[in-house]
Amino acid sequence: MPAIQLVDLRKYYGKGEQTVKAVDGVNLSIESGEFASIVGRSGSGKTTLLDSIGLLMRPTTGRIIIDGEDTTAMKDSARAVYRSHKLGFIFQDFNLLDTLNAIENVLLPVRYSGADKKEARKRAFELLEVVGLTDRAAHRPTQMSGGEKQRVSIARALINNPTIVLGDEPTGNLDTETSAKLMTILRAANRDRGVTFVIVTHDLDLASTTDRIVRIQDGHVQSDERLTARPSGEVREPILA
Amino acid sequence: MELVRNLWRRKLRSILTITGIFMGILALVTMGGLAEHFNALIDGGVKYFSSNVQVSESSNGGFSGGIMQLSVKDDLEKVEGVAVASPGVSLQAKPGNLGGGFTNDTITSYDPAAAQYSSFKLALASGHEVTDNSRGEVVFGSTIAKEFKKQVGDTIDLPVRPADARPDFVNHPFRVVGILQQTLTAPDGFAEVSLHDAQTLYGDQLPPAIKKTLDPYTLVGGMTVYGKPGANLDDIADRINNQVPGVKALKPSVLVTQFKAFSVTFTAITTVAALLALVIGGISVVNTMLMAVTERIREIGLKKAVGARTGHIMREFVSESTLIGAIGGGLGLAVGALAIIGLNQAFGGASGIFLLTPRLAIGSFLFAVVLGAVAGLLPAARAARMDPVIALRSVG
Repeated sequence: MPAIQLVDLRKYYGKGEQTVKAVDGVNLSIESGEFASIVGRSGSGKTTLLDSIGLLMRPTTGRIIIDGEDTTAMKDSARAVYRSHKLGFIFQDFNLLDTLNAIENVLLPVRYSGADKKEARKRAFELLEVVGLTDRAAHRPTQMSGGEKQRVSIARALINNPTIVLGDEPTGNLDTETSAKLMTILRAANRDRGVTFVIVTHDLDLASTTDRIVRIQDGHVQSDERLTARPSGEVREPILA
Repeated sequence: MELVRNLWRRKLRSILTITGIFMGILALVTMGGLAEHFNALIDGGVKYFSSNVQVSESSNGGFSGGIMQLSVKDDLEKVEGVAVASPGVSLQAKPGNLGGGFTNDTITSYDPAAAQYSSFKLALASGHEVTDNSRGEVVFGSTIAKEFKKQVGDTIDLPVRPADARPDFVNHPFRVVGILQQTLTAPDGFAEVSLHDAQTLYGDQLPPAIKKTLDPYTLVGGMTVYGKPGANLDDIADRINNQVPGVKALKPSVLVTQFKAFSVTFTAITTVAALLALVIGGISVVNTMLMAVTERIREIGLKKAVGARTGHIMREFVSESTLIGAIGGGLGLAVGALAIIGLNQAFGGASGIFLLTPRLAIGSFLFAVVLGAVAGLLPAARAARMDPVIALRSVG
């Protein structure tokens, strides 16, 4: 069963002659456990596509089916619950809350999912260990480097055991070395936890490390390429003991 | 904890907003304290005067204070519906003193026979009541006892000699035989003596020219008339005015209406203070929370992205504004209470001017909390309705 299925998805802004077709008739199926990247120029519609998959916006027409469930008719509250339980998000600029320390930031989605707080706290520390930030648990974002902040946000994306994690330029604000380390962590989560990853990027080198590259242009799928040979050696440790 | 951190993000703004609530609640507590004391006094008056008919010499308008013959008692008790006419004599316990607070210290005669008819019951905190046969015995109200630091068994000269007493000023020693429980109204300033003793003191104060021609034991200041069970007191007042010459009886309903009119005025003062608190504090909270929402758009977007529903966002912002209300209200109540204690000590005499009742304290604090919550609703709703994508993509 596909983790994500987009059926004739369209997202238009404006009316009449000024209509902007950000996503225009996209049909796409991403299998469970796949690590896919969506690439395209600025304004191609890739971020709108990701926001639609993340149930953050409603499409103009078309259907978004996640884990076999059609989300098209879902109410806002049901979409929020769905996001809470099924989806994780990683943002380019981390979006950590400065008033919370690392562990509290990781636990933020738990506040809204209704998961057991004690269990979640234990899991949060495990995830911080996985991303190598055990000693930074009590630090605020203002006391962390960009790479550390993004590792916290990866832990936050995984805290509710989502089936899908969506990344919007997750390494966009990081240097090459830090980006590579983060991709190693993401690949490990994909492999060890079976989480489906969809990342939006304009970095073709980064995209080439994923299983599949979907190119978007003017709101259409321009190409859909499955990579047969994965780069080797990027995963060194299992994500969870 | 996050709530406190969010407030502390913009310290000056939070402090100014809390100060707005604080000022409003301070005003509410102090003005309310004034009204509470006054209303307690009024309530006591309403309770007392609604159970009897006040009768005085006709030129005195119905209230005691003039001169009336004791023999009128018999005429009054012949009027249909009258159960008993209780003679009364009242005079200042501290001549020449305007007193502090709402109640003045008053020496008043006590009629054991009439006490059973009054709906305003006085209870003793210690000792016993005076009787018709008491001589040189006094029962003090709670305030006057505190003012003169007297307990049962102590003695005092009444009336108290003023600093500028005339050479012919006379007073008499009295032994305190009882202390009344606090009533928060006029009897707290009473020094109750027997009718005979009150008449003696009254006679002492008569001008020398009159004193020689009048027997003080035939005189009273006025009469308090109690009706038989089921009798209409207003009708009794009308009958007294029609049947007993030379006296004026006041209808209880007229008196009670007048008392309640005073009460309405003071309640209006409290309401105005509350409205000021509402306007000043409420607007500042709304403003602060709207600014907080504007500054935290991305945070709201993130929270919605990770699963926060409308209710979650609403709850978080309303909790924050409620906390502002609670802090401002708590501080306003604490400082207001201290102000009331200080002002009562400085200007209120023994009875005080302000009264901080549990009702006022709890009400003021809850008012601040509810004000904070209500003021946070609009900004919170604005935050909760925010589109997560627009919020996440916002700059800042």
